[in-house]
Amino acid sequence: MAENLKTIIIGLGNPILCDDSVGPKAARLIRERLNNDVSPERGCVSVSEVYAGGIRLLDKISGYDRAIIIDSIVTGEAPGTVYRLTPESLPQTRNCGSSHDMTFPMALSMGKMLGMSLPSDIQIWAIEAKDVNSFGEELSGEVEGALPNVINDVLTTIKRLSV
Amino acid sequence: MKRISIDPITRLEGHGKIEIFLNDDGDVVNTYFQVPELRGFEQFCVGRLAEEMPVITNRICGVCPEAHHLASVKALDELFGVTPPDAAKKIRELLYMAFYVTDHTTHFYALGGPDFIVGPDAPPAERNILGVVNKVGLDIAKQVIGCRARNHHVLEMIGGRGIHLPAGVPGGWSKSISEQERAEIEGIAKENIDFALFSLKAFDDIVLKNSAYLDLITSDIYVHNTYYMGLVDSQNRVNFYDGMVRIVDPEGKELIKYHPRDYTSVIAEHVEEWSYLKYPYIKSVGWKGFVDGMDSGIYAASPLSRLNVSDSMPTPKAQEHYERMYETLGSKKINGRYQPIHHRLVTHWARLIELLYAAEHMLELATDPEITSPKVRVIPERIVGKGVGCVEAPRGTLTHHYESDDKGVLTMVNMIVGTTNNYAPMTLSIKRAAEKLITKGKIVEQGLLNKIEMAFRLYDPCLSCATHSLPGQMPLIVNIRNNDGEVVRSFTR
Repeated sequence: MAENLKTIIIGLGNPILCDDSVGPKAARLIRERLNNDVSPERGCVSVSEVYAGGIRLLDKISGYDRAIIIDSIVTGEAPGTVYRLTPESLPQTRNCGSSHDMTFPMALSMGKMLGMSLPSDIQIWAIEAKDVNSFGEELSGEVEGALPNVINDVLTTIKRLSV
Repeated sequence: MKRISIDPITRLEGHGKIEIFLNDDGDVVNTYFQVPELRGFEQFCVGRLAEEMPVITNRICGVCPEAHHLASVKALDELFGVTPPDAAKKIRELLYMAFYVTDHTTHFYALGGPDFIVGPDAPPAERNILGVVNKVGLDIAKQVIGCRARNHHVLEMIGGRGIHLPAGVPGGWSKSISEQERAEIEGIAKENIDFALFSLKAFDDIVLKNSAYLDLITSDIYVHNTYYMGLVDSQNRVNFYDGMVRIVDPEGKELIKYHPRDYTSVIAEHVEEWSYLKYPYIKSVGWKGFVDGMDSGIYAASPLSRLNVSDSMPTPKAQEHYERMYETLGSKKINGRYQPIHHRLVTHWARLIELLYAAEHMLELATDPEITSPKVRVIPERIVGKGVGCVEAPRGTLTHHYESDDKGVLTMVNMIVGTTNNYAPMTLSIKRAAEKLITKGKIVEQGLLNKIEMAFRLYDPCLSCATHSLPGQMPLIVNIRNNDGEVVRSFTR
């Protein structure tokens, strides 16, 4: 059995901006599921809700072997569409790019330049949003509908990679 | 320009979109900078308890939660008719100085500075913090990261949590500062002063000693003779946390000094048929279109504006640099105060002087005997039902206005956020860049996007809640339209 990897799961987004809150909501649901889970990998998984891209996100993931990030995205595809991305293929998730910081890929490059201890494995789940311009705590139906699969996927990924 | 009537349905919408309108001769007539407006904030808040606002408003965006948090608790002080103890005011201000240090540092090194440090003509892929590191050395990245980390630590220590701080309450602050914490903050403030001086020296060496950059700063490309707005203390010195709002005219004469709660009698909003944005202007001067000058009510609220409205800086080292900036740019003193600087690119320099002031003031507060007082809260005992709170956000004057019923349930919420103040001046700067590069229908494509980006970047607009970012920057779309409103060219980055 492989050594368990220290993992952080981050739900990224604004908790009061409709579909942009999908990341933090996913993180909360994953935390609940993990709290009922007594498997050995539970001990080395942390879950966090973050609303900041750039350097703050870099600080959050430093010191972990693996980071899983869940964020909203706006590409024009059907709301609720789920994308699996890596930092290399990161096109435009909403909070990994910041207009007042640096983008996540740039922060990662800088972290590497500075010799920070960063995860070798970074995976991103991005969920196509319908409305990210209205204040509200509810998700649209399409985005809500995508959540169970994303959560199951993330949990399966942790288990698969932990054994 | 031929007059065309436009149905409101055709109002432009867009995410980081700039629309440039040409006349029949192919010259620029108007430009509009479009950012998505977040909707429904008032409805989201009305019906909630007023005391929830400091932890709701600090979630509006991830860039300046501290500014919203403080404007909100100040509005609640008024709404509940309570005056916080001095120690609580000082703790709020101490937290705010640490925030200013991180925010101004980030803007200079990651956003605004690369235009100068890497060079305005460098390819966009290099005009970022990594380009800065390549040019200046890895040590600068360590300094920037270190500065942010130690000040975020202070924000968590005083504010109680990382990004969505909960510590501010009507009538004061939730927790006092221990002697051990105070001593640590004092050490951090000293490091911040060194870092601010280091940054000013870097600006000096890289920008001011380079004639090409100095020419760029002092060129007429982004010069707008507008009014300026900013909070000042009782001696008309810069203040980020409290005071009266002062507006000076383009020659530097005070037009008005008013209490933030009177904002509706001073400021009005102009609506354009082409844009969803509302453009604030000074009521008594009036809206004359996107033009500058004494007769146009357009004003700016930015680091440069705050220095322009003040008679001096409250701390000694910042004062030295403040004088040096005005002297270097040939500003004359009239009635004991410098005439305003209208060159918008100087805003980057002003931001560094503010960084130094924030660091020095942080040290003053950290060594204030009252800062560790346990008296940090007065419990409110009544409901006045109306409150206006105002602070200087890094991006301009931020006003929160709440009204409630006699149980403290919100019935009205209004906010003027820092960036909003600068919509009209940003439009002026973008228009100026466009006019330089588009004449008689000829478009100088090389540098168009960059000059336009530099025009709005210096205002440090807070669009983070509204960007659908591509790696590297906000995606920028520039549409050039003819007199009939048809798009004739489109650029994207």
